Amino acid sequence: MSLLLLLAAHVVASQKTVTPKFIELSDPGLSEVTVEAIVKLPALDNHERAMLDRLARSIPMGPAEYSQNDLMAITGGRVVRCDIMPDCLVIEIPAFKEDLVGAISVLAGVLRNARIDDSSTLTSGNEPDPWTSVIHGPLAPQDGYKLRKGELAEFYHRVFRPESVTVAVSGPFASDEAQKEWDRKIDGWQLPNLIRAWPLPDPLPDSSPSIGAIELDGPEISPDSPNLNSSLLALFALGCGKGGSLYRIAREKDGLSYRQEAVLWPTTTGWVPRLVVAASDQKDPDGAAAQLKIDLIADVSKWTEADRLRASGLATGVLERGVPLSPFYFQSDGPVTGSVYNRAFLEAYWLSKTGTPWNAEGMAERLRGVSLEALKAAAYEMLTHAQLLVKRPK
Amino acid sequence: MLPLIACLLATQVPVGQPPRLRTSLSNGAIVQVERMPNANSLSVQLFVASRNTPETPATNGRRHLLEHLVARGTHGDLDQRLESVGAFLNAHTLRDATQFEVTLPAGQLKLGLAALQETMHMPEVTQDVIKHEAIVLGQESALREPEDKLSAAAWSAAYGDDGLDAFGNLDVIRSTTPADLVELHRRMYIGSNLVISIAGDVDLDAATKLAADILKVIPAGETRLPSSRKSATSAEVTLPGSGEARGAAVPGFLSPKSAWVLAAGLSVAATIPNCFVTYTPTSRNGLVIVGQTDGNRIGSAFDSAKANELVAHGRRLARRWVERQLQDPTAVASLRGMLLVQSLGLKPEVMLENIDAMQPYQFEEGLDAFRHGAGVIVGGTR
Repeated sequence: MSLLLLLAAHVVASQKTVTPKFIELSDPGLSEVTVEAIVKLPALDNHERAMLDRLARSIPMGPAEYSQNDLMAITGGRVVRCDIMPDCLVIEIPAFKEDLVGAISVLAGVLRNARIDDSSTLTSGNEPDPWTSVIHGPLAPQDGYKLRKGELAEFYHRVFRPESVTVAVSGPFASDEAQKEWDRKIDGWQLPNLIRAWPLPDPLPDSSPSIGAIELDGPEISPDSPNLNSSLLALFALGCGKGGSLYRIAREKDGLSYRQEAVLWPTTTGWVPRLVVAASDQKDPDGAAAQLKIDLIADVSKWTEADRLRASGLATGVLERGVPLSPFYFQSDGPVTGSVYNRAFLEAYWLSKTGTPWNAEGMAERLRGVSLEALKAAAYEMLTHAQLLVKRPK
Repeated sequence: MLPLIACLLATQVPVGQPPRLRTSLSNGAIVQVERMPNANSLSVQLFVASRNTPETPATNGRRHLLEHLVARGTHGDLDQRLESVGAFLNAHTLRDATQFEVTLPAGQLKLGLAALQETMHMPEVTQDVIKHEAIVLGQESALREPEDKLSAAAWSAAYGDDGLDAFGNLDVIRSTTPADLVELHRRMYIGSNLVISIAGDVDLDAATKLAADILKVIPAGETRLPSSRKSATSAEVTLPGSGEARGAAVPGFLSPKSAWVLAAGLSVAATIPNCFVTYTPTSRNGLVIVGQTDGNRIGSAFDSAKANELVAHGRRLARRWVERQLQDPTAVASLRGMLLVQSLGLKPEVMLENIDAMQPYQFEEGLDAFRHGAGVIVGGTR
């Protein structure tokens, strides 16, 4: 077999059609339309992450059949967002209320026929801000890998598959209006039959964040864990708000950092609870991390009903009123809350992640029902099994 | 049964009330209350004008340090109390004012006002406390976003010492004494510097009275005088790191030109991925900044921008920029408070009128304000 043939990607359309999950959120109180898609990701190595980064930078250019002016007319000049998270790609198309049809067309277009530029070499993307580099980890170094023709398109079709996609549309439209338009636009999305005909390159190595950090990572939490509620409340008690243990110890007592948070971080199979302390220029970061773990465990032993009430009060505020002190780092630009601006995203994300509908009030009620004993047990579990990480800046 | 009915009547908001009420107190302080029926959150904010405490290179950072210290409250458990009901306090030091915002569930007005009252007291401060907080501020500095650094460089280039970065100089912060902070607090917390801005599902009269009770005991201080900022200088500067920003000088918030420049900046920013636009409403000369932290396409985008193609987008985006700040209680209390603490005449509705009245040639003038020779250019060195 010739090398050229080996390097060719065979994309054969099969007759099988699968429909993405779709959620319509008709709400006359909203002033704008938001179209949100969650594209569930398979496990990817660093090289594939680099390809994904290039893909995510292509998506905001819109579908191949739309010019930039067409796109701007629909979005009112706002940018189509495409965020990469460990478990999914998030695509968000903002539109004015009169542009529902156009916004749905754009999404259907980018899911099936995005404008993809694979004619060049992979290059590193923009350096994230310091906190984001701590939370997300640094960008995988990409410089120098020459994309083969068709390689990115093959990868695109491998990731963008109807069974991986969940869509939510919110806005002030009539009931069924978005659903009908979506059905019309997505009709006939055929599943490509892909054969990757070139060898995978070696995975790219990790690099360092732009500032130092110390971190305690607890055991992974599964979406169907029986202890999900107590684990979530433990995150609020440990690391959300200025009354949380992490703030009181790392900032007020030790002066280690300005920003320290509990982070519920997605993985392809669940979430990892992370206690993250951004701490630059520490003389002994390993010692500080070990001491932080000891201090946090000691602090949990002193928790009282007041700590439980603070955590559940804050959780209720986050879930029901969009208080921004949230541990739910499900999007790349920061944690999401129950605010109206995150509603379409959370509806799509939660269904995609857990198979169950998002219910902010229900979750808040369950968290309020966690006892002090269960809360402390979940916090101990998280801390005693936590892996200590010291991230040194480059 | 009768007492229950009386109680229900007393807690209902009268339907005939106007949307907002502004009250000037005899000591110069102002209470602004915006009624937002059915809002499920409530925002209570305190603004302390900086007009009496302009920072110089020798004092740059002291207001920020004081903000950190007073935001803790008087008993050290303010945040615990707020968070237990799902409320929280945020504080910001800006060039024109220091802002304390408490966001609460509906119905918690008294708790919010009590929290603000605590932030008005000068706490006990020792040199060790300052030393500790200076370390925290050093950590905050390390976390500053590239957008902040580009914007601070643009302000400094345009206005020199009149545009000092409100974050402050860490060396100045470290060398501040407790006596410096006591004196700063005395000059800042006077009636004519203070505004309490409230937005949510509240009774206008009752909320005004509660806020006025807190403010009326503050000494009057000096007469409220408008402050000014010198005219901007066109300049070109470089900054370590990546990215690029263009700053366009604008007169005060009420000037139609500010609306044209904002619309022009927003429309061009929308054509470039990962772009940011910053404009902090001010009664004085200010800057609209358009930047990109990972590229250098801003200049060419302004140079090639065609007013006739972008003016409609610019108008929509500028309207949306204002309207989004009038949608939820936190944004409303923030924008109206920020405007009022600077001048009684500043209103967001004027900006909307100026956007609607904008002509294509005026939009072109807005674009020109960013172009070479007119605006401030900040370029990263890599």
